[in-house]
This record gives sequence, C-alpha cells and structure tokens, in this order.
Amino acid sequence: MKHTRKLTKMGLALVGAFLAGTAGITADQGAGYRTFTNIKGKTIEAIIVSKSATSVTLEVKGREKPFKLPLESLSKGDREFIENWDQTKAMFLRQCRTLTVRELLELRGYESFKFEFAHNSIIVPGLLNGKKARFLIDTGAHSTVLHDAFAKEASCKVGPMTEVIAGVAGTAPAGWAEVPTIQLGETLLKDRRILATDLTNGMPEGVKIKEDAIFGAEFLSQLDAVISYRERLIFLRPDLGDSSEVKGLKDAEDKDKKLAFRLFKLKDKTTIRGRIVKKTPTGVTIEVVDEKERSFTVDRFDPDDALFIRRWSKDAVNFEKNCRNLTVKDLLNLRGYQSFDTERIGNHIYVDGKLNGNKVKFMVDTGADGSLFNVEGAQQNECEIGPMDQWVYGIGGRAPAAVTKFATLAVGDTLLANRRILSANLGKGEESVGIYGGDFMRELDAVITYREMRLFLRQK
Amino acid sequence: MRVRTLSLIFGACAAIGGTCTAAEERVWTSRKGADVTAQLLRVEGENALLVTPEPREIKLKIEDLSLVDRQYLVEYGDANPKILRSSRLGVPEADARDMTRKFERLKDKLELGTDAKLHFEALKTTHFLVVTAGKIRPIKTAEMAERLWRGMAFQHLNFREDWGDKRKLVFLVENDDAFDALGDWYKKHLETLGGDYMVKVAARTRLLWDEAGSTAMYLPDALVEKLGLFETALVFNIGDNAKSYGDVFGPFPTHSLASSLLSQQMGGVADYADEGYFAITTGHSYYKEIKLAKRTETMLIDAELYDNDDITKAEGFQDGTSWAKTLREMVRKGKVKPNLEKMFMWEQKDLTPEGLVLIYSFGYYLQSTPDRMNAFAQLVRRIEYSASVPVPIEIARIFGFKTAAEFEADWIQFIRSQNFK
Repeated sequence: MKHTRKLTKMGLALVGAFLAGTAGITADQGAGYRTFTNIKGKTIEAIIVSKSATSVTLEVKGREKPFKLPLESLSKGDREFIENWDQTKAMFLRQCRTLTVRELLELRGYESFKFEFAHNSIIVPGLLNGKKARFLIDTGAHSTVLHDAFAKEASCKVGPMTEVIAGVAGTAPAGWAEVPTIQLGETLLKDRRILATDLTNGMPEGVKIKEDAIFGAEFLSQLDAVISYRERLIFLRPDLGDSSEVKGLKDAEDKDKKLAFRLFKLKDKTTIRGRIVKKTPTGVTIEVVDEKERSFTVDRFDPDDALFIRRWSKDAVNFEKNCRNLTVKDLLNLRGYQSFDTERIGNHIYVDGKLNGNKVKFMVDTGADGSLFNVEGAQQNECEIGPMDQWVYGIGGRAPAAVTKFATLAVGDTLLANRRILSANLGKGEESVGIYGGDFMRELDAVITYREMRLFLRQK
Repeated sequence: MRVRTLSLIFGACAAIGGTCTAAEERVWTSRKGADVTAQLLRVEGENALLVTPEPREIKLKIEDLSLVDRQYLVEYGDANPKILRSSRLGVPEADARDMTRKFERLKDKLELGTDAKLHFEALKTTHFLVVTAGKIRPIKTAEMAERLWRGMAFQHLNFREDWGDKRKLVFLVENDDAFDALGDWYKKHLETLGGDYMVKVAARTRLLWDEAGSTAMYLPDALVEKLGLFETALVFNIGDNAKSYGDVFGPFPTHSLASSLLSQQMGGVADYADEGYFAITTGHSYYKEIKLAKRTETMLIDAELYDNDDITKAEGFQDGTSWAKTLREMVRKGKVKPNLEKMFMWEQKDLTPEGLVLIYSFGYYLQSTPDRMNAFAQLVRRIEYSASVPVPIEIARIFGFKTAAEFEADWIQFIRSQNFK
C-alpha cells in the first residue's frame, strides 16, 4: 500500500506534463468501477490497479485485496480497454473524484450559495431593493415573479394589476413592478421590470408561503446557473450580472484568464478576485485582477476563505490547475452520474425519458415540490388514474388533481418504479407528459447546468 | 412552475434548516467523541484524515464515524463502499459521552402571556429549548433529547443539515393548572389562525388536551422567529408520572421524542400515500424506547382486552423482553403471520396486542444490522423526498429483496431468532 501512495504522488507530478501537451482528458479513462467480462461470460465490477504485457491487476468492488488475472482470460473488449488504459491518467482521475462541484466551479469564477429546502423547493436568501428576500429557484418559471405584498414592502413601484400570468392552476392578475436591484451574493441585477402577483392566491387560510419572489429561468439562464441538489448549492456567475461588485473585473482585458481567479471575501464585506501567490503562517499575497499583488493577514478573511488560504499549497494549486481541464460533466461522470442533453423551448427545459416504457418528454422543474403529470399524458401512457379529488396549488390558485400510479419512469438508466403522484390538467398544448419535480431530483441527486443545458442524475 | 400539494402543508412540517458553512467543511460525528468541524483531507487506510479550521490535522477511525460520515467518505473520499456495511451498528444515543456541560439555564422565563401559569423555566441545549412548569427538573429529559438527536444525526444523511441552527421547544408540564392554562392558550392561538376549520380544530384539540401524555403543538410565528424555533413544539403532560423523567432514557419520553424526531425528518406525507407511516413511526418509537430504556410503558391500546393471552399478562406489556419472546412463539405457531400490506393498513384503533408487538418487531428489524440500517436510512430519505410511503414491493427492493414475500420471510426469520429481543 505504501508503494501505491508514493506512485500516486509521482503520478500527480507527471500529470502536469501530460496535460500540458493534451487538449483534454475525459472521464471514461478508467477512474471508476467498470464491468469486466471473462471469456466464460462471468462479470465483475473492478478498477484496474496495474497491468503488464500478459496480466492485469484488478481491485474488485467489495473485496479488500487486488488480484491478478491473465489477459487471455478476459473478453476481447476488456483486453482492448486494458491495452488503452494509462496508469497516470487513471490516477489523476481518481484524485479528481474527490473534488466537489463547488471546488471545480469556484475555479471557474462561479460564486456558490448554500440553499435551504422548503420541502423540495430551493430557497436562496438575497436582497431585493436592499430588503432581505427569500427567492424560490424555479427552472419551470418562464420569468421571475414577485409576491405583490413583498414588492410593496421593498418599496418597489407596482403598477395596476392589468396583466395576466399563467401557472399550474390557471391565470392570475399581475402588475409590473419596478425593481432597482436584485442581489444574490456578488451578483447584481439592475433596473428590471418584473411582474408582481399575489402568491398566496388560492392557498388555504393560515398557510404561509416560503418565498418572497420566484427567481425564474430568464435570470438562471443569463447567469449560467448550476444547481446541485446533493451539495445544496446553487452557483451563479457574478460577471454575467448587470454590474459586478468585484472591482476591476469588467475592465479586465483577458477575461477568461481573470475568471480563472477566485473570489475572496473579507470580513469588512469587500470582495476581491485573485489568486494566491505566496503565503506565510499568518499572511498571504494575492495577485488581484488588475495584476497588482496585495498582502493581507489571514485573519482579515471570512472563515471559509481563511481556511482555504491556510490549506493552500503549491502542490494543491498544480492539482487544481490540472483539474480545471475537467468539465462538470467529466467530474460528475466520475461520480457515477449520467448526463442528459436537455431541450430548451422558450425558457423551459425538457428531458427525454420513458413512462411505462413509452417514450416521453418531461419538463425539468425545480419549482415543483412534487412531480406532476398532465392527465392527458398520463392516460396516453397507461397510468392508473384515480378520481379528481385532490388539489394542487400554484399561480392561478388551486386546481383539481388525481392520484396517479405508474409502473416505471425512466430517464436514461435511472428508474423510479411503482410510484404514486398527482395528475392535473396542464393544458392541451403542453410539450411534455408532465413535470419532473424536486422530489425526483432530490432522490436522484440532480445537477442542472444552464450553460451546457444538461441534466445529471444518478441512482445510488 | 411553482406547484404544491396541500397534504404537505398540514403534515408534520419538514425541518428547514439555516445555512451551513462551506460544502467541504462539515461536522463529523464519531461514536463517542465530540462533534468535529473539519474538512476531509484524505482517506488513509482505516482512518479519515481531517483538517480543522485552526488548522490542525486530526485522524479519526472510520469505524467510529457515523453512517452519514461514511457515506461522505465513499462519495468524496473515494473510500471503499464496504465501510457502509462493515462497521458495527452500536447504539449512538447511549455511546455518546456526557453532553450536559453545554446546557445553559436561562435567566429569563419563557412567557406565553401575563398569567404566571404560562411562565416557564427554560434550559437551552444545542438543539432544544426545554421549558418546565412545576418541580420537574429538565436536565435528564434534555440529555435524552440531545442523545436521540445524535442518534438521528448519526444515521440519517439529511438530518443535521435539515435541522440547521434551530431549536425544538419541549414543554415538561407537571402542574395540572399550568397544563390547563397551556391548553387554553393553545386553543386561542389556533383560533387566531382564522377560518371555521381552525375553530373546529381548536375545539377538538382542547377537548383531547388532557388525554395524551404528549402532544405536538404549533407555535405562533413571532415566538418561532424570536427564539429561532421549529414551528412545532412537543408538550409532555407529566402529572403524576414524574418518575419517567428522572432517568435519561425514561421510557415514555424516549418513545415520544423518538417518534417526533423521525416524523420531523420524514416530513408530512400525502393522505393518498400514507399507508405504513403509522407502522414505521410507531415501530421505530417502540424500538428506541425498549432499546434505550430497556422497557416500555407506552400504551396505545387496552392491554386488558386479551386477558388469557401471554402477551397481555401485566408484565408482558411492561417488559420489552417478554414482547419478543411471546411474539416469537406466536409466529412459530403460525398464530401471527407478518404481512407488510396488511400491517400498513392498520390504524391505532385497529391494533391488537400482537399487532402492536408485530409493529415493534418491524421497527426493530428495519434497524437490526448495518445493511438494514443503511436501507432504513434510504427509506426515510425516500419518504422525505416523495411525501409518500413506498408500497411494500418498493420497501422490499430498498432492503435488497425482489418481492414483499422475500422481505417478509427474512423478517419472520429475524423474529424467530434470538437477535430479536
């Protein structure tokens, strides 16, 4: 085992050189467990530890000690895979598996926010016109919507309620609100006109709403949002907002390079973007975006960033630099995720799947606490539909719904079986069989990336 | 699209926590030690190497870490998944070291009104606010609450994060006058929520107020916000039963709080998919009560119904060991046939003594090996996300079986074994 660790370190040193001359590295090069089949058809899940001209050493899932197999005992496909397998690459990728999505995206200029769940809904705190606000992150909302009472509390001018907005339960009156600022962390959106409506409309008496505003798909798209259910994080790019709070960023000439720098937050509420050049036990020198180097004492930083600085080392930087060549897709594939292209229609996102074995489309909707079928779609796909004796609530008030049983629902290899959800009339023109909501996405650790328009799921 | 279902709103509210620190910096829970806030550096053989904010490197044995921590190590530390199954189960609630040093007796009483009967002494712990009326001392129950909390955090992935930095309010009311005054106050509070429906709820709640030894209570928003509490409190009507609150794991308080914590973690379920919810929460509560208090004193049914049956002999219902023995005999003789689907349809009013003990055996079985504990944690997460209890075939699959019959056969084998105590 000691020997293996030494090799790992050496592997890292070599990886730098390897990547320098390579366009990229993909995740299917042997970092995770793979199914191997012998010539008799027997399969095992294993990771390659090493190889020689005539044999391969495998670490088999659930077994402690690796063991050696002659290559000739394995299938042709496995032998080819082993021939192309590269130990240095594989070690590098195994190291990368321990990266979080957050670490990867923060290396790319994203800012992360820890979110809370209100049941399965994603709630992010922010400021609206300087007033503390709770935003519901809603990929299924075409546009951002404010709760009218909150808009007034936040001193926004709200016009007459002559507009109409539509939701799951029909339509509701709305008025244009003038919103000087919306701020989520360092991301600032300025001088927007946003519709305001009564979000309590149709709710039973005594029920409190958890959000002051619905943060819709137009902003999520503009800000290249990434949503990770497992990590309870949402990532936004502050530089894509209307004005960055980070000094010097907009003026930077080589923006891509600057975005490689990281955000550091100080206790005095200022933020800088830069990279660590050197550090001492108590101090740090940071190259900021305008190329100047500035020195700070570590205790001036917010605890998270102080810890980041304390843990910083040149070896770690080299590792991270190499990992930057990984995409989110690569990283998540290493973690056992499957990735799916999504289709964008308007601001809505759709993913292909199967319902009871039939090909269908689902709308990916973080704003839905529970998944919901369109009654018509459920009928067409052989679901068992009960009487319309339930209710669903949303914009437009409440709408009747029916308990609906399905045998299987699949997106790629992820499978949900024998479930009961609700169906409602979502309208004849609806593109999808229904809504793939927060319940399914939490269960399957979903990650949504707006820039690549991808949905990632994994079934543990 | 913003879509909600009503059944969730009136269900036992899911805990919604505050924001936490960085994703990589997390709280690690070891079997006996204090919680440690640290980042993972790497897995080294049988140890996890962590770095604290100071920074200081520490090494913790993986075997001693919680199931939740081990899941993290598999996911982010590239640890072998077998660590989820190979560690001993232990009893995290009992294994934890003394945690009372962090308890703080507050100078100010909790005042729900001007009436002195509604003024309560308060003890603050890390996750609870325990308030008392009468001579009852809160420290043992507070310690039990923290230990049960730790048990949940040890085994359930989302529990700590969902809880956040809020506290759960627990009332220990010994004095009858104070309990009556609290009932009146609660009735008025429910009436202020508006609507005829709530007036009816208020009247019924007040009518049944004196009947239950413990009950859940919805708190006013202002109080929740001011003290950083969950929306629901747990109220104990102690009366003459103060003895149960003199030990850390008093049987009845352990049962009630174990039920409350599991229900909170699972959240509300839709009324069209709640079959089995009663069996899961009740089984879990009896399991914790008997495991930790070594006996049960919680009655859901009238034990006198079955005078001639072994199971209802006076000690039978008082002594958890006898429950197992008697059920084992009844299962061997074929008098009781465990059946998930039938059991899931039972409600409290339908319960026979052997039915209740079968539910206890179910709760015990679900958590009786590391593999089953892992599956049980998955079941709890499934209920939390879907707001519905999986149908029997799906529960069987979560536990690694192809059919409900296979699950039932394994459950029967467990009942017939000496592992069921």
